[in-house]
Amino acid sequence: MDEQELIRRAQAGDQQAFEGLMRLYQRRVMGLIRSFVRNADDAQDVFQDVFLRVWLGLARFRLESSFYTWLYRITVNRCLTWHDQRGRRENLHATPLESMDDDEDWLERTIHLQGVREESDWPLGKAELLRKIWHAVETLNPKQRLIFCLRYQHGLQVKEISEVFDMPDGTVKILAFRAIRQIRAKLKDQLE
Amino acid sequence: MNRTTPPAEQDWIDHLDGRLEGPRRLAFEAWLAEHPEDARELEDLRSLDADLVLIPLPELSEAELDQARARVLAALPGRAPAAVVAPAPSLLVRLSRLAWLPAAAAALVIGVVLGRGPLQAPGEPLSSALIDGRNDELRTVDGAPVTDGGSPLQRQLDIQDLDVDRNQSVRIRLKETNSYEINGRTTDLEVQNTLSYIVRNDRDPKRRQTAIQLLETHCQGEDVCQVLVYAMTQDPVADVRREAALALKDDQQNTMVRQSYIKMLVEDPSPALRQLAQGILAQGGGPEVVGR
Repeated sequence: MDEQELIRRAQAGDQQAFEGLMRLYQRRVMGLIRSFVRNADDAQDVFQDVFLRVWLGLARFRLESSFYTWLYRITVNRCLTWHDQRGRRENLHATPLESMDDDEDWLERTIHLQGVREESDWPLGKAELLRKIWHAVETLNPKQRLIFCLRYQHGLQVKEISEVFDMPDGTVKILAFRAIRQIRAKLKDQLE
Repeated sequence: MNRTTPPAEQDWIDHLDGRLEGPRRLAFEAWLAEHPEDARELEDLRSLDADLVLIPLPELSEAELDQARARVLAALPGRAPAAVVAPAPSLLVRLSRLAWLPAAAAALVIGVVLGRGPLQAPGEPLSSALIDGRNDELRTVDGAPVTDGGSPLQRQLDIQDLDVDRNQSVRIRLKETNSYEINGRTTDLEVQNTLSYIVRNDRDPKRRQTAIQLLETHCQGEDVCQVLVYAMTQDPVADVRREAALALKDDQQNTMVRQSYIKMLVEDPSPALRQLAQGILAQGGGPEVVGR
């Protein structure tokens, strides 16, 4: 069953079709969430929130629109909401919630499972470079970080990202440029 | 040309995009010549942009995904969204609802125009005109270079900056539908030739990518394969090579295509593209494609 058919059936109330849609996009959605949300349990919450909103919004979704762009938009918005709420929780508890993070864990698992080789054309081993890049990515502001993930992890074009964020192409380019410039500066610091 | 003030952020962005032209480009490059640290940064940014595609998606376990889906399904409200999906009106009907359509119609026609010249005479092969003016920018009918977002009118309709019909008809993509048309001339040889020309010659990588997408969607045959293989193996921009590689993933029965994937696997400078080629060759069809 193709995506359009799954959407049609899910719109008609078919939960199996909706599960099919989830299966189709789960790796991209959870991948984006896990790159942004540092705690596995929080990631599950955000994932649930995203797809509940998809379910509730399906009635208004028009088939001639791009489903994945809409889905990414919901995911991005839920990630940003999570980030705001997390900030408020940290203020409330007056202690950072870093101890709950397992961000390093997914990165190490990814590096391990992808069998990243140490030999590389880059000045450092690829795995080590990935760690350094990711640490630099974490210094970006939330929106830049999401744009970075969409651009480089998910392979979206500027036009697509601008649709996800509902912002002009030029703004996406500026945010992406600042992100990559900041990453370059961080990497340079670490390499010197 | 000397420059005393540092280049604006937009100059950097446009230069990285290959869109910085004329005096601005000269001034920027003069600045770089006098400021090697900035020249180095520019090169770093360019290579970083190309190499960051090696950042992988997080590896997710099936158990994690199963759990996530189960939580969603358990939380679904009992009744599904009662959707009544009305059939979408046609493109022309939607356009005709716009009060300014008659006046705007002419402006909407984005011709691929020769440099500063007017629109071609009706019936003149567009690809011939393009070939004659191979060094000219593609321009809108009012002569303004097509830029991101275009004119306010273009922004409103999200018109693509590429028109490939020999009658200078319009390819429009409405923001609300993401649909587009080439006036039904989807297999017209002229369209195919023009798209092929753009893939091989246009200086804007985004237009090359768009042309590849249109070739994939609307054209077929050995000639199209050859053009896509050319883009996949020869284009200097990784995104364009990737676009062509994805466009050909269902054509592996073609020996030339399969050999091109092997060439990409062995020779492509981008690790991500080598990985993509490996995945396509391994699966015989192609990996899950993002954004399509």
